Amino acid sequence: MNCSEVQERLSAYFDGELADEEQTAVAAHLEGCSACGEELAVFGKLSEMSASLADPQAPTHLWNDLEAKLDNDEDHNPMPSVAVAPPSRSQRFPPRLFAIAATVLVAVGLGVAGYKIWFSPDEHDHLAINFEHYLEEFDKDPEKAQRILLAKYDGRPTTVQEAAAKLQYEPVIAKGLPSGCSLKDVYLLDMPCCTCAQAVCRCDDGQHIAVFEHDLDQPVWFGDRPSIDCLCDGKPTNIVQIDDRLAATWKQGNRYITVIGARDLEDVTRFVAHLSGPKPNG
Amino acid sequence: MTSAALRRIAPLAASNTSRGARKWTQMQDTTAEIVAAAQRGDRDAQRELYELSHQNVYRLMVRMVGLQDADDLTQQVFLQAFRRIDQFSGRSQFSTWLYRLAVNESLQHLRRSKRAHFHVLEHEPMDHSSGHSDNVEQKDLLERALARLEPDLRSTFLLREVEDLPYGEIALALDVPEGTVGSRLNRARRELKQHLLELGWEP
Repeated sequence: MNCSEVQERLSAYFDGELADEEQTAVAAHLEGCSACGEELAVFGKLSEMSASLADPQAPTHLWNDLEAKLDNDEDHNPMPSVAVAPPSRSQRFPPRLFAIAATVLVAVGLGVAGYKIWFSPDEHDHLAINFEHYLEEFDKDPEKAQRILLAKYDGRPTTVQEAAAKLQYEPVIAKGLPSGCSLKDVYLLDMPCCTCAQAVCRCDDGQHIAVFEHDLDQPVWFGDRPSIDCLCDGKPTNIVQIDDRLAATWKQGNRYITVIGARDLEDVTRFVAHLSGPKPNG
Repeated sequence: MTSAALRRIAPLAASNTSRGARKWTQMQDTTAEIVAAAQRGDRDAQRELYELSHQNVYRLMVRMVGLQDADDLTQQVFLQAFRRIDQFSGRSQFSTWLYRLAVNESLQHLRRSKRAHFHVLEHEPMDHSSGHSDNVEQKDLLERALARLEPDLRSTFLLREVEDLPYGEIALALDVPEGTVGSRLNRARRELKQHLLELGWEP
């Protein structure tokens, strides 16, 4: 083994992480190489210094603060009631969507939107999945919107199978998509405190639809857009209008499914019906 | 060189006297029943998990994001952990899962606050022991050098050298291949050496 090969393995050797054969080969090189030996000695010094580092003590009030927040969570579960929903949301909703909603769905006023007010607006970037900028671009240029999203949340391409292995659950898109839509790409995104699967779909008419699956504790923030709560295929669904498209979020098991780019409420209902069947690995 | 020889022993048992190993072993001993009880929302079990592990999370946070934000982010990690505990499948150690949440939270925080660049994260003294022995000076130098490391390298180094995790667990916590753990540690150690020399360290 030459110096370069040893240098590549030096940490693993130092930490006892090499297979026996490699460990022996590195040791043999070190016996005759003072440069690599000096490097290893520095690793040893760093390790000794690290062992003596201070152990900063967490403040004792942390648990009490945490417990208060956990209690507050319990107060909000199960789904918050209509009483906590912001009164202005439905008032600001465009009449056009209300009209469609009236013909297709029953608006029930259930507080799915309530989860969005667990946090104040300035906390959304910290605690919520913030789709605001994504939505701003989505209708004009879905591919640009996608690039923004990937950059913001460190998105990386994957497959449904890999996503299932990473997330430890089978994403709903594993069931396939409604007829007329095909799966284009799958990504894993590091949303605040959770990894989220995103499927980018292309429909026969060229329409882009993005499907996200994410944790229940990650509220969705669509910006300050007006929204309504509807029953779509029997599921309480929160719907937001983005220019000529709709975004919809509903609760499924212990996750939220968010569909962005639906043409109309019928389209939303089609996705809800298709994706909200029983999950094999729930 | 003796350290290398010592580390030939299985990593988890390698340095039982070190702070990281002691805590890590304690966390590994966390029984499935406590986690299961916490998953049912049992507050006592949650408290027990917190007591077992909060120092590990806090210690990591202090060096990832600084003293000022470590409280809030530690609390946030546990809040997320208990809200998402249903998703903990038991395939990895609970402690590894927690470290993963902690590292993700710290990296997200650094990105959010646009402080990911190492020059901005300033070292804050943590050791208030009296005297100015060589040991204290060396510790202080190392803290300052650590603060200059890129967050990815810093988290890898801390999980190995302070928390005493084996490569397999670090790989799970950071969601990278095990080979990447070794290469990051190579870079972290070489860059630390360079930063220490710039700070006046005499090996």
